[in-house]
Amino acid sequence: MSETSDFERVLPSYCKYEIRKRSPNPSKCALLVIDMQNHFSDIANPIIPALNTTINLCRSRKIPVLFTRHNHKSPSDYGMLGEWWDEKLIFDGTPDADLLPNLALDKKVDLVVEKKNTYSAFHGTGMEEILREMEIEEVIITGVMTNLCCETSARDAFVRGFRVFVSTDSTATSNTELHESTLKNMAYGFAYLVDCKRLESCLKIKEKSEV
Amino acid sequence: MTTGKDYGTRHREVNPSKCALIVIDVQKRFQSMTAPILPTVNRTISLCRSVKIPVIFIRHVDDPNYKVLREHWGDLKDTPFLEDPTNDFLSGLAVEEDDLVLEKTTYSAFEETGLEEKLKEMGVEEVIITGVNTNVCCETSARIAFVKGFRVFFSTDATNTFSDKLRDAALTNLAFAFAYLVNCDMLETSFKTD
Repeated sequence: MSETSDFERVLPSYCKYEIRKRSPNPSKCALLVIDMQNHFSDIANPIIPALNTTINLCRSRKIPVLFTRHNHKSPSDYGMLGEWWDEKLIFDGTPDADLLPNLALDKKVDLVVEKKNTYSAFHGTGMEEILREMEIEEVIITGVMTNLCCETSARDAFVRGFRVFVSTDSTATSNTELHESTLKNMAYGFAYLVDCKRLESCLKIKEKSEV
Repeated sequence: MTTGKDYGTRHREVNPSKCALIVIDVQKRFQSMTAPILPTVNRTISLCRSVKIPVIFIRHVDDPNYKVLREHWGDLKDTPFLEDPTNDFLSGLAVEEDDLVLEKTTYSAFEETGLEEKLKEMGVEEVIITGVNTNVCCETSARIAFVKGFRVFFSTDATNTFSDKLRDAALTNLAFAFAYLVNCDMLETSFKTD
C-alpha cells in the first residue's frame, strides 16, 4: 500500500474514506476512550492532544465519557489473546496497565470500565448494559489500537444496534497501513467518520441553534 | 480470489475433532460475490465433511426494525445486497438436509443466532470462516469468534467481497491479530496427514 501523498496529508483525515456523513446527537451519545494505557504509550502519546480535545468537546456538551482499561488478572481470563500473543499481555497491578497520566480524565464524572480482557470493549465488561441504562444510542470510538480494540469494539457496537462514530485523529495503531485499513472498512459498512474539526463544528453548531 | 500477497500469517493446523465450518451468507441475493466462490466454498465443505467437521450454514435475513443497518444501506434496492428477492442459498451450494442452518439479521453470525451456544454444546473450540463478504460479515464474525474464545481460521479463497482493497484490508488485520489464514489446498494437505 502506498505512503500517504502530500496532497492526501493536507485533507481532513476523514475525507479520504468517508462515504456517509452524520453528526453525533449529544443527548444520545457516549464517548468511548479505549485502552489509553502505559502499555501502548508509544502509539498512544501522539494522539493525546487530539484525544483530549475530543474529550473536552464531548464533556462541554455533557456527553458521557467512558474509559476502558484492558487488563488480565489470571490465566483464566487470557482466552485466545494469550495464545495469539504468547501470554505477553497487560497484567493488572502493573504500571503497564495504568491509564496514561496526561489524559483528560475527570475521575469525578468519567467512568473507567475495568473488566476488559479481550479486544471488544463490549465483551464481558457490562458496557452495553451501562450504555442502555444511560439511554445511549450512539458511541464515538477513540483510543488504541485502531485496528484491534477500536475496530472490534466498533463492529461489536454496530451489531448490538448502536450507531457508531469512529474518530480518525483520536485513534492510533502501530502503522499507517493498518490504521487506514480500519478507516476504509469502518466507512464502508459500520461507522461515520469524525475528527476534532468535525466534532467542533457539529457540536458547536447545535449549541447555537438550540433544537 | 487471493491477492497472492503475503500477510505474514501465522500457521496452525486445524483440529478436526474440535472444529466447525461456518458458511456465511452464500445466498442468491449476494450472487455477484457468492457465485465466483461457489467452487471453493463447496470444496472447503467437502474437505471438512471428509474429516467429519460439522458444517453450519448462516443465512442473512432482513429485519425492518434494525435501524442502524437500514441507515447504512437504505432499503437495499440500490445496493448489491438484494440481487434476488429471496433469502435462498445459492443454487448448487453443497448444503444437506441434516445441516444446521441459522438465520442472522446483522453482520455477526453470533448475534442472536444461538451459534455460540450450539458450538459449545458440540464441544467446538475452533471455527473456519467462509462466505461473504470478507470484510463485513465474515470479518465481524471472525473477530467476535475470537473475542468469545474460539480459535479462528479464515479462508482466503472461500470468502469474497467487492473490492480488492477492502479484501486486502480485512486479511491484513485478520492475519495480524485474529485468525490463521487457510485455503483449500492447505486444508487438503492438512487433512490428508491426519
